[in-house]
Amino acid sequence: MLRITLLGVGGQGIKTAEHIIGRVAFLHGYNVQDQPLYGAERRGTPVFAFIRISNTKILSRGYIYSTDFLVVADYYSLLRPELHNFLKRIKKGGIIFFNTVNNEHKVREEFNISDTTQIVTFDLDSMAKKILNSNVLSSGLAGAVCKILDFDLTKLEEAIKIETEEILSSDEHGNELSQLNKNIELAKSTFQSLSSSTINNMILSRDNEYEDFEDNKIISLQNHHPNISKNIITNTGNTMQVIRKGWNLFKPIIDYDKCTKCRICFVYCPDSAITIDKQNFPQVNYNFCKSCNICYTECPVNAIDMKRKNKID
Amino acid sequence: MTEDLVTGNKAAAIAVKLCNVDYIPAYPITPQTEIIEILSRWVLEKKLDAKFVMFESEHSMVTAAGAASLSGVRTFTATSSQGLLYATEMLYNVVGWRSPFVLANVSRGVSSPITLLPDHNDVLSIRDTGFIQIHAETCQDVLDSIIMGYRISEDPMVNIPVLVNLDGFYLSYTREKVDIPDSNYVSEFLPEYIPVSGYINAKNASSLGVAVLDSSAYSYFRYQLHLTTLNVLKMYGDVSKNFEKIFGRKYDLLEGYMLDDADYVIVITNSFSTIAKEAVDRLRKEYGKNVGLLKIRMIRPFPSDDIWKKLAGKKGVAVIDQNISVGGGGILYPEIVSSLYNKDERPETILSFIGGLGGKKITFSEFRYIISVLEEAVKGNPPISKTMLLFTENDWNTVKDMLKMSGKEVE
Repeated sequence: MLRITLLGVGGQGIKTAEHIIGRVAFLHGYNVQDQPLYGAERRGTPVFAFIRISNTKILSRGYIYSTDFLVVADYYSLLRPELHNFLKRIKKGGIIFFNTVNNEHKVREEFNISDTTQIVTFDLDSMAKKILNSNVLSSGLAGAVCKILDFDLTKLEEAIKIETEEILSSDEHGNELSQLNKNIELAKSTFQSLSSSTINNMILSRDNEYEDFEDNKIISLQNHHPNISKNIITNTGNTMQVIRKGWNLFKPIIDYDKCTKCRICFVYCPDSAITIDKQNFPQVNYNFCKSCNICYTECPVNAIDMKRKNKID
Repeated sequence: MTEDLVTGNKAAAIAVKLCNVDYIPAYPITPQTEIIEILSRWVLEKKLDAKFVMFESEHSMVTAAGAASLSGVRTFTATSSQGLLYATEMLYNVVGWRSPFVLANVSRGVSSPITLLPDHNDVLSIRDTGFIQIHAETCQDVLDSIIMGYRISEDPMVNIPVLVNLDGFYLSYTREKVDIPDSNYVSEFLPEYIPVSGYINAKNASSLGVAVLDSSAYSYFRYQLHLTTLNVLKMYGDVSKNFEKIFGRKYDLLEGYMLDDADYVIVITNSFSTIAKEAVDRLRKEYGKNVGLLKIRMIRPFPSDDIWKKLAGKKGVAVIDQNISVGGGGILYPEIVSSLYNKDERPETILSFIGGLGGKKITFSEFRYIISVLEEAVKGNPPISKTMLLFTENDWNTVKDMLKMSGKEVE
């Protein structure tokens, strides 16, 4: 069985990418089980997706603990400790796809990844920006994964048509066809930019392999004092302890020459990551910005630009 | 027949379409919403010739479902968790009205604390209402159970609503291969719904759901519900055989997996059965344990005799309840114990485990633990606590971090 895990943030099209990849494997005749996992639907929040592909019946469900193929759509997600663990739990001989401007050497160094894991890096954001003029990566991610798995390009096209039918037909501008064609173009361009790998053989050779697990002791819970066991947060204001700078690929940069101090960005920021300084100018606290694009969209004088981050800061 | 890759929610919607449902009262709640989103879109696009009505609550929604089905239209509705609890008063009522319809419950743990992920405290909280309950393991199971549900519910000898349970996330948003039957096969299996007794008809006035202040009469009607529901266990075999003949898939009240020669048995329900089956395979192959599994598919009426037949002569049984009756323990455990207590060849060791609360995955370590505790108990060293929670050191470390962040110091 081949187990694929996708990591990204809300707005990147992770669920649709999962649906396209799952559909391609299904069209190839494999047994497939796929599932996204996320909390409240919101741009910028973490999204996982899991895909199991097998020649035999799939006797498993839910969260994939250790994966053969990790697809990292949002490079900075890996700064979060619980997601960083995915890197440690890659199966031997596994592969990681990184959407990044950094090269393989840099990525290996930055995340301390051993040579037993294959790494593929590709700047999918720039490709998506060029072809779709957006940050939505679904068809591009599917193109990359399908190339690495040596799947068929015509099946990939068919899968994109099936999986985007309902999404694109609801497009308010009425230009579904050009949207579809652009998505297919993005998938093709990504597909053709990468080289295939040997990972497809893993699907065939690992059919009887069980999902890895960490040996874990079962413990007996004692009753705790209500001070502890009531579901109440006693130290309010602890949001400040949760640094979220790893949640984004882009950061808003305010052009203070253009800014009219209208405070619309301050009002709209859903995370209160924008404050007003003594001169009445807005200031972004990048520790808490999730790059949701709302300030960028709402600014009436286009004084805010979303700038791509190229290092972990 | 076509094969498609669909979610459990979509499988439910497809079943509704195949059954030519006429009326869908609805109210959205995660993780059920996708079902009614798909159905409302199909109604809008005229792919489904039904009336779709959004209500202001699940309480009204279930009332409408019960009343509509008595007027002779095939009715479907769906909810989850808090929605099911909110509708509870009316769930008792529509059973008493003998309204035949199908309700899909997409399981989700109940508040408080609030969660989105599944366990069965929602669906088992309403086990005493009289709804017939079928619990699904796969997306295919969801589709097939809804079709079977209408057949059972609308049978003139039954006329009791059927609840089909599917786990949130693990089925609701999980896509797997589903065989979608052609509609003519469904029509062959499921005749047109023609209410023959106790229905609303303007030409022949009747009064339904009337008050019964006499306690003898109350006892009579309540016990009749019980007897009618028990009859479903007897008629189910024919429905299942007919279903298998037409669709080629067999669904018993219970499913055994590696059960016949097993000494130790894990009893489980719903989608986690799949995870338990993998654990059974692995415990047999890698650890040489003689383990099998028993999945309970129909929970109301409770198939006590069938359970006894499957478990008679086994050395040890571990019941995994994905629910908790606070102050009691697992909900299904005592039902299984009482199914066996007065019987010959009952297993001497029956242990109670609670796992998968709020969708927490039951890992292989936990299954291995269950078998080790079971083996010790069979040897004469029973565990100290009656109910054991499947909870790992990793789980505790995660919780400890959260408690710390919320301002509480532990240990």
